[in-house]
Amino acid sequence: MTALTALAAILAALSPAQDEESPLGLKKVNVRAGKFYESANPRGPVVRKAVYGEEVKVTEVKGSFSKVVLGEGREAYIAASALIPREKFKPEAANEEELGKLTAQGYEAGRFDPETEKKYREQKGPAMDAAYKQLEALEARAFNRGDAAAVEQVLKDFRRDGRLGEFANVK
Amino acid sequence: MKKAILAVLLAAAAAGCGAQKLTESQEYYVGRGVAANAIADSALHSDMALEKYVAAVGCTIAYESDRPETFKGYHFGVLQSDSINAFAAPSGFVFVTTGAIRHMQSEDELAGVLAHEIAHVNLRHPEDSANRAARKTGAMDIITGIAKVAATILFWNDPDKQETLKKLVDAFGKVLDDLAQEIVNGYSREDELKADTMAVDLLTRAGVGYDPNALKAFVGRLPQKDRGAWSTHPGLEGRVQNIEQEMRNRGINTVTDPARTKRFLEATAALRR
Repeated sequence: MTALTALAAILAALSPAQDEESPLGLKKVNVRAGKFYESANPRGPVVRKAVYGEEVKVTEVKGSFSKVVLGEGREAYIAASALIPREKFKPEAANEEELGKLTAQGYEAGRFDPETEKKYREQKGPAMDAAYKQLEALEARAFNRGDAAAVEQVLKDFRRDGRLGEFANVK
Repeated sequence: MKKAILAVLLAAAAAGCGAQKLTESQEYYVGRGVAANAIADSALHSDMALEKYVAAVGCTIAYESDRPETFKGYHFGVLQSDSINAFAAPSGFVFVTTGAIRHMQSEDELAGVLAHEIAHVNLRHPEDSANRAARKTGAMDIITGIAKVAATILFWNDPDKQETLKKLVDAFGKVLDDLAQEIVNGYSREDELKADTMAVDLLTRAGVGYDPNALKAFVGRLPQKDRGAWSTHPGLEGRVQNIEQEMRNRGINTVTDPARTKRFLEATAALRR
C-alpha cells in the first residue's frame, strides 16, 4: 500500500457521517431479523424475510415504514430503521463460519465480532462462558428464532385473549 | 515525508473520531456482552413459561414501535434477582428481574415497564451509551483501524494480528465495564423522562392497547427502601407527573382488562409462593 493510498483510505474512513440523509433511494438491509410486509402494518401479511445486505429502492415513507421495490421487482414495506444507505453499509460476520470466509477475503481483526467475543469469553473464564451459553439458549428460543408466521399467530392469539390491539374493547 | 503523512493522519484522526459510530453488528456484540455480564451476575430464571409470557408482552409492544427490528431482533429475559429492576442493552436485549415482577400487580404494569425499556431502544439510548463508551475507552480507534493503518505506514509491515486482537478484546471488556453501570443503573433524568413519554405512546398504539395508568401506578408504588437501581432514575414523583401529563396530552382513556390481570397472576404465581 502506498502512503497516498493509505492516506486516501484513512480520510475516507474518517469523513464525518452525514446526518442529513435522504429517506429515499437505494438502501441496504442492515439487520438480520428484518421482514418485508405487504402493507405498512406490522400485523399484516409478511411477504418474506429480508436478507442482510439485500439492496432495495425506497420510493416512499409511510410513518415508520419504507415502501420499497425489491430486487425481484415487487413492492413491499419494511421498517425504515432496518435500512441503511447503500454507501454506508459495512458487511460483517455473523458467526465463526462467516468470519472464516471473510478472513479468507482479507477481513482482519479490528472489530467487535465473533472472534473478539470468543477471545473475551476465554479471557473471562468458565462463569462468563456459561452466561453466554444461557444467552445463546435464550436467543434460540421461540419469538427469537421462530418462524415469522407462527410467531404472528401466537401474538394474535395473545392479543385476542388479552383484548389488545384489534381486539380491544376501548379504541 | 513519512512524518508529514503521519501528522496529517493524526490531525485527521483527531478531527474525525467523533463522527465514528459502531455498526449495528458491533452494537449487537456489545449488547450480547452486556447481557452475558448481567446473566453472569444473576442467572436467567428457569421458568420457560414465564419467559415466553414476558416475551409475548414485550413483542406485542416492540413490533408496533418505530424500531420493530433490531439487528437480530428483540430478546426478552427474566433475571433471577430480588432487586426491582429492568433494563435494555444495545440491540434489543431487554431484561426484567423476578423482584420487579413480584412487585407488579397486573400485565399492564409489566407492559408499562417493558414499554419504557423498548422506548430506550427506540431512542437508541443503549447504543448511544455504547458509542460513548467506545470513544471514551479508546476502543473506537482500534475498531476503526486508525492505529492499525498508522502502524502500517510507520513500520511498512503488517502489525501482528494476535496483538491487535488482544488490544481489541481488552477494549471490548473496558467498553462493557463502562456501559454496565449506566445501563443497569439508569440513564440521565432527561432520557428517563423521554422513555416514559414514549412508553405512553407505545402502550396506546393501535396494535397494543395497554393502560399507561399501570406504569404510573408501578412507578408510584416503588418502595422507598427497596428501589434498587430505580433509585437512580429521576425523581419518581416527577416521573408520575410526566406520565400523567402525557396521558392528558393524548386524551388517553384505556383501562386495564381483568382478563389480562388474570393471566398475569397465573403466569407469575410461582414467584409469589
